[in-house]
Amino acid sequence: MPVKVVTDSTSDIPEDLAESLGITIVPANVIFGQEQFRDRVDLTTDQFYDRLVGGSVHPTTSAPSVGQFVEAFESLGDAADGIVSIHVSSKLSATYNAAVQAVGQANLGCPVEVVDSSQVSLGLGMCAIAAAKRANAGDGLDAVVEAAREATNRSQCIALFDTLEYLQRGGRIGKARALVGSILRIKPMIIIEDGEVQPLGRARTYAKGLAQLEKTARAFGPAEELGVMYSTAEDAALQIGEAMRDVLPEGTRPFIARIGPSVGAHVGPRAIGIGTLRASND
Amino acid sequence: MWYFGRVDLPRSLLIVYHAQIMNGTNSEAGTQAGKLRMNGSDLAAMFTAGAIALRRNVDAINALNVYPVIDGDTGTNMYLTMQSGVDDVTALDTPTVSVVASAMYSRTVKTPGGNSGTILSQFLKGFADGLQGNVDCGVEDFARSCQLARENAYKAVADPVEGTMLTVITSVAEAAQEAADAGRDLQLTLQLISDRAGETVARTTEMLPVLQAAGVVDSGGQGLAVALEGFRRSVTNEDPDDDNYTIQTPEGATSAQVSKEFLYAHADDVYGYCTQFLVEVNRLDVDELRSRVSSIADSAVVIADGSSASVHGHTKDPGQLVSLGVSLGPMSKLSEVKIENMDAQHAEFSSSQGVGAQTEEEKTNVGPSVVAVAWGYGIERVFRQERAAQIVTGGNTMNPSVRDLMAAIDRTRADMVYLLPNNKNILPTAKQAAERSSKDVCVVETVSIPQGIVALQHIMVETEMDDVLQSIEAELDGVKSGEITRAVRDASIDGVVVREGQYIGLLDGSLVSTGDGLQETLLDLIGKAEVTDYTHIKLFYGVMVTESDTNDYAKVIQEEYHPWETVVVYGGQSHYEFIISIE
Repeated sequence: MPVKVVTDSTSDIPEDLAESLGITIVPANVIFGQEQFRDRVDLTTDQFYDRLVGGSVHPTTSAPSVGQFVEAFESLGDAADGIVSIHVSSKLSATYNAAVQAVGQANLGCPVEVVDSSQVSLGLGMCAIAAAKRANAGDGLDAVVEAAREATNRSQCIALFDTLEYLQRGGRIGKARALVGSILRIKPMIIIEDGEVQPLGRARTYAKGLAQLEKTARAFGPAEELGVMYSTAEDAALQIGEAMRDVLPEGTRPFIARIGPSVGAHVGPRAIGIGTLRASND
Repeated sequence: MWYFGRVDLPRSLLIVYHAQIMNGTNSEAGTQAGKLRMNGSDLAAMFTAGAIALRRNVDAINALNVYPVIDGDTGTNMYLTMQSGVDDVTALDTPTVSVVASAMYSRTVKTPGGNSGTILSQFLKGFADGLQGNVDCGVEDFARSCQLARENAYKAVADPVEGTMLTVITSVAEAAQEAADAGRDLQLTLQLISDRAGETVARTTEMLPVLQAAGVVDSGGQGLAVALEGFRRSVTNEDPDDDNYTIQTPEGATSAQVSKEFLYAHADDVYGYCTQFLVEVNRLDVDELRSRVSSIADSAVVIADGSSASVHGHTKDPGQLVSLGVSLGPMSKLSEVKIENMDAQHAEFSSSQGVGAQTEEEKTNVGPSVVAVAWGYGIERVFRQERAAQIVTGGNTMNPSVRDLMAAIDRTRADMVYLLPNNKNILPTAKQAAERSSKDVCVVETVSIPQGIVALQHIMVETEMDDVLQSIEAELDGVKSGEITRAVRDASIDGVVVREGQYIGLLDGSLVSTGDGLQETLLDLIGKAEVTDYTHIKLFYGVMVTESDTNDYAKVIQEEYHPWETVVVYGGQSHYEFIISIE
């Protein structure tokens, strides 16, 4: 029986890609006032951004419950030799802890390994994709866990925000606080490092920011995988995706991913990012 | 808690000491022990001692000043207020307490002493009211005066906040009443009041979050406690001008000065102007005036004094407050108008505490500094936020001199300075200043405010100096500068006929639009600037335009031209309705 890969909805892996790779996505929760929704289960991404921009209530997010993980592990366990559950940075979310607790509580049909990716959005997605590819190639549990861990060292996540307001409201701003407070609405750029949000720079205009984002991603070198994620500005994402084709191996192209509700609540509209898995040296 | 000269006593000992005093068993109680009443001269001496105490501690009090504005002037304001009253009082001949207290109040209420000075004058009004008609006074009178002082102070402030001078005044009123109820003499009463004030000051840190963040006690409360300690010393015939007579770090505060982290965190706070005046009107409804003032200004304090009112408020637009004063009635007259730029005070205070543009510069040690010419309060603020080390005021109507520019260059700590003239007319002056300066000055030929801001942002991002000028040129190519102003006379400009009073729109210095309406001219100008989906537009609105109108125009621009965004920024420039950056 194969090894199964589980991640959470903050990975922003497009649905069709997750399906084709056999990745199970456990939804985080988004809360508007008294209403709670499971990310992309009870609330579509479009519905979410409509409420985020148009509504008066600012959403909060919460990690999937231990119960959600127990259910996922138990339903997969009977048909798997092992499960690798890889998650958003434990410095940004309680998701990793919930998964670890679930391992202790579930009635497991197979061993489960939980991995802290120290990443988020496609930075996390890249690790799950790398692990799933090895699992699909028939590798055993140890090899897939190793692949997931190794991918955390090669995955990068950078983003350009239209505003830092949402990151600040959600309390995930970390050291990027240094970028807050521009009268001129300078566009902040961030990178995920050491499991946290770190400042990467500032751009005078969004167009300049897109160019700098691209330049930064290129500086990572040739990529094995590359995805461009966006919250609402699809055109800009398509444009960057097209421009970044040459860092990938011949014949492959970047995929475009929508930033879902659980990450979107913290990045806001018109955020755009790049997730890459740097090509390994060997 | 805080105290003077007795700093070596641990707190537990002090309580014993205090209890002994209260039981009248302390042998150190001084020469006037048992004295129950004071005359006019005693009261004048008491106020004088308060002023001396404040004078000795001006710097220490200033160093605590974070609320409501981080501008380091509480000590100065309170001292000047107290001293103005004392100057009048000491000139009086064989006065009664009533005359002294009235003279003290009527002078201090007319002294524009900022937030704390104004509240101090209301504290003194308590004595003027409480001692009315008295030849001399006892502890009962004193307690009644303190109670009235409390009522006056709270009433004067539109939005009373605890953890401030007001809280200290309350505790003083309570202490005075306790002393009167217990039949204490004057000396023990003042002792109790002074100690209680000190204890309350120490608690302000935990009462007001901003004080906790800054790690200090309330400066106004500390100032009042200092003055009261001066009062106490006058009744025990101790010398208020004694060298030991400086305040110590109170127990509740972590520091005798505002923490640097706090100052850094608030370096970009914007306060506007501290605006004060006296207004004389026929019919005065002081409560209504206070509510009108508080609707347009922060820290509103309004006090009635006969047919005149003393008005204090913090506002970004002092003109609005002054206009309110002038329009109170056909006969309304303004005097003692005082307008202070609190942001300049804040910057100066921060830099006196080792936190400011220059220290930031030193800390990051990036090398070159920037000197920029700018005009308009909001525009200058933008340059400051973008880390221009020095700003020289100037623009279309007032060109700075070579000497002004050289002085600003000298004030920066760097040896290498970029100079941004931001106006075509200033370019020659800037070049002269660069040539004459002993420092290595590089003039970036920016001819508009938008260009200046772009260049400044670029200088701050780039570190390779050799490439800076060349790359700034490339950056400036992508920026269009617009201006909207009004024609001052009929004219033909660039072949276009313009009538006096019409709006004109200039794009990179050339007249491209004219119109009778502001919105149509603005839209026409922007239409001529080749706006794309990713264009970023900044509208710096001047003093003749309101923020809400500008927001409406920005909305129309978004709907009409679909740029990435239109950002509305307060420019505060005169003569130009809008300065527009199209990037």
